Amino acid sequence: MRELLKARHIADELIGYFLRHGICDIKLQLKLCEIDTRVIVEGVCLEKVKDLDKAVRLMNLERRPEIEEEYENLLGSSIGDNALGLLGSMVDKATYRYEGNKLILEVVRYN
Amino acid sequence: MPDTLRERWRKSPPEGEIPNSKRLKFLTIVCIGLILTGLLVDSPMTILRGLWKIQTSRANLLTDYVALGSPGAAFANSGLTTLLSLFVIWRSKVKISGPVMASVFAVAGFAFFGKNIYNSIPIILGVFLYSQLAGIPFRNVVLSATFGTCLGPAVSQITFAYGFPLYISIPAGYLLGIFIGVIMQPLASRFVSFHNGFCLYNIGFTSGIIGMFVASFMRMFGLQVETVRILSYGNNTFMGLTLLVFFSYLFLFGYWFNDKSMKNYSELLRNSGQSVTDFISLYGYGISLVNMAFVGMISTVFVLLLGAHINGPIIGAIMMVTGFGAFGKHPKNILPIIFGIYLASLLNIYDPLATGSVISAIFGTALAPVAGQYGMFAGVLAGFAHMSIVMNIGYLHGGMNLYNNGFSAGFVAGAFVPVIDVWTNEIRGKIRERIIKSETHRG
Repeated sequence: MRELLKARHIADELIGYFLRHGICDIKLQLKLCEIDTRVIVEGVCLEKVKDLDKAVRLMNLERRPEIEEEYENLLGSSIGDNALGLLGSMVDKATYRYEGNKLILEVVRYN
Repeated sequence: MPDTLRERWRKSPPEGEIPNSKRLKFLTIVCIGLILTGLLVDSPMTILRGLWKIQTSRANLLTDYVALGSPGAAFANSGLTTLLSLFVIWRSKVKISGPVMASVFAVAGFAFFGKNIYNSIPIILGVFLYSQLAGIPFRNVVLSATFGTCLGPAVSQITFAYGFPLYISIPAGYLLGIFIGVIMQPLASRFVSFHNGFCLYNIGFTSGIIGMFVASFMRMFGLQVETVRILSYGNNTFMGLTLLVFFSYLFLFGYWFNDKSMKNYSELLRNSGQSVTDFISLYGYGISLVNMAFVGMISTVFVLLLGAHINGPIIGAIMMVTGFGAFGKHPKNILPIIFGIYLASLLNIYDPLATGSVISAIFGTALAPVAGQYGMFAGVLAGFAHMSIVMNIGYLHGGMNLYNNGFSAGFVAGAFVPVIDVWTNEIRGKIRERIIKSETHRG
């Protein structure tokens, strides 16, 4: 149940990121397995997202278990990119790629 | 999944990062330094007598341990209580990150006026019990254990304030402390949404609500809970010098750890500080220590320039703010808040030099993210509002929540941020519309 909620919050934040950058045609894929949780968000974007590298760098910050229990509810609630560091402290890996005019962002959280 | 495989998959710390063992050693040295400072000013016997008084006091706001015990006893209490927190952190195998650093300094500071080993233990045990009941590792909730000791005075109050026999009052106080520890984490994770991370003392806000319930229940059964005012005066030279020397060392260590440079500091100053902003993982351990030193120096110089008395609560406030120099606060986002609160204290009925006003100005920097995100003017306004709330809110928990300013800042942020948000979005929207119109016109 806990992992479900965390996955939901992570998905929320990623969708927020896409929406803030004007990507409105979005597909969400959520995979909850025994060993990991994967959230994959893809969206159609006509031009490349400017600060994506910085955002993914924040998402790849070292995982901090002491933060997530208290602050996970902040994910998805921010109007800016302030919570991306928090997202980084809750996931183990974040990657992105462009396929044509589609941006695919994937984050993995090992259980 | 085997642990080794899981560890291999996990992100590794960046190269050149200061190892955790060094960070822990540094904080342990700070604790030993606090105890040695105590021994420098008082004899071991005076310290022991003072420590006994401190452990057996009611401990609620504002009980200055410098006045109650002795300066030496207050320093020793701070060192010992912080060592207890460090032991908990070390046992939980958590890394010294920004929030952990902030919690260690919060304990060191509040152990000058309210926290002690006796009243901290049950709350830590309660949080541990919660982690067992919820089936989550203790390291995930360690911040609630260290910050959560701000409700320690509730334990001391039950044990020592009402003259119950000790065989009843000690278990009763400890049971209450354990209960507080059990409920701290689930409440803290909910209440953070109220202020959206714009109040940096989330556990302070949560503890204010818990303290309000506890005080109300106690009052309902005829147990009075009142704030007190035991304060020391006349230690400015010794206390001021000690703090400034400590911050100078902090700066030098930080500068040295940061490859003898100020790299990343301009980036750090651009951060709004909204929770969760861990300066250590974002910009590095060294530069975070440098920032902590600056924040501590600004607070100390502010108090000295005001001409206020540096006593236990003021040292506590300065230490707490210093710790948050690794977790959201920097000179740029704290100064507007301090100015707003000082402005309010000049215009209102309260004495601007009174300990209550001065600690409000320093602790009020819990609202630093408001200034960081929405600018200086919003910060000054938030500081001004904080002063009005903080002076009226202590009654609700009867001084049992040591983070009274966190309680107040939570309300201010919760009320201010949605309004400022709408306002600034509206203005931004209008500017964008104008730009689009003028570009279309030109085209």
